[in-house]
Amino acid sequence: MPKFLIASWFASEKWIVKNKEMGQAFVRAISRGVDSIHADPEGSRAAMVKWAGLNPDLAGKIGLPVFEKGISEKDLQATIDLTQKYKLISRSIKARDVISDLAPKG
Amino acid sequence: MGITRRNFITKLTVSLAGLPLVRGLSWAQAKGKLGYMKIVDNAAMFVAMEKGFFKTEGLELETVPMAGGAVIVQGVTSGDLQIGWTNVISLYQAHVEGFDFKLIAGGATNVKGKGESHAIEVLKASPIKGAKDLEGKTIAVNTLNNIVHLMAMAWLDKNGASSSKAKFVRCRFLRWRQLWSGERSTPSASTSRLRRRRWKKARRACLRILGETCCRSF
Repeated sequence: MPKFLIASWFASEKWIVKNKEMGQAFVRAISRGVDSIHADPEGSRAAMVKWAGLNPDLAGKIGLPVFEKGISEKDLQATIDLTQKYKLISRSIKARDVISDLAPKG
Repeated sequence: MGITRRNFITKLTVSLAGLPLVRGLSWAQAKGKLGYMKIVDNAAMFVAMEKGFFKTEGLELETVPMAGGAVIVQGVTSGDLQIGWTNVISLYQAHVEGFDFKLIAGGATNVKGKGESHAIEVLKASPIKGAKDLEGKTIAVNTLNNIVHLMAMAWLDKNGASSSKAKFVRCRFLRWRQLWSGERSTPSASTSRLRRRRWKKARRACLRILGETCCRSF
């Protein structure tokens, strides 16, 4: 299992259906943010200092997760299966059922 | 370890009073509220705000820093937030309980050998050398039945121990200094997020990583 998506952005399906264009705009903006992190890692750490309250002296040293634009259904399913195996959810679910059409494929 | 819908909703309502109600805003006006956490995982949003990417896309967002996914989920459920940040386990649990939440973008990912941010830590002087040594021990996690707990259990089982033979207890981050200072000897499964840096100096002095848990638990 090479990847584990820890956390991400979500919305209710009801809202997504009613606000598809706005959702798409949000995803585009976030994706540009991810591109910027990859293009300018140091600049992104400055943003973390401002927004997350990081100590500037530590900002360059702290370990970061990998930032990705898309979601892999296969990778997500593996984490769902693990969650169900340990009974943190009462039944299995399909990854495709918790990934919006708005999300780029990973 | 399953949760009931009633328990789930109860958890979500803990901070209801802390959520400002904003009426009259709608995405039809390209305005809305975004619930996020002040952690480095939200860096893409931070950069997007700094560089004006949301405005470029015609969005006028009010960004609301919040304590955690439970409060954010509550905000999205009530409609006070349009988009929020959550870890995936909470989202799976919500889905099973009947909530219609869906992931809409990529986020913070742990990749084996790169960007790993979860580990089990023990005191440097501890005789615990491997997973098997944790059987019969008590392991502190920030939240029971969620992502840190899951990774710790899976790591134990993957590495020759039985997670059922370890006891897991919830321990708020602020109490972890007691563990790290040696006042208590409980191993801890943690995330290397913002809160970890606060105790970095103490950790260096007294802790060692027993195992990276995130991508080494399968």
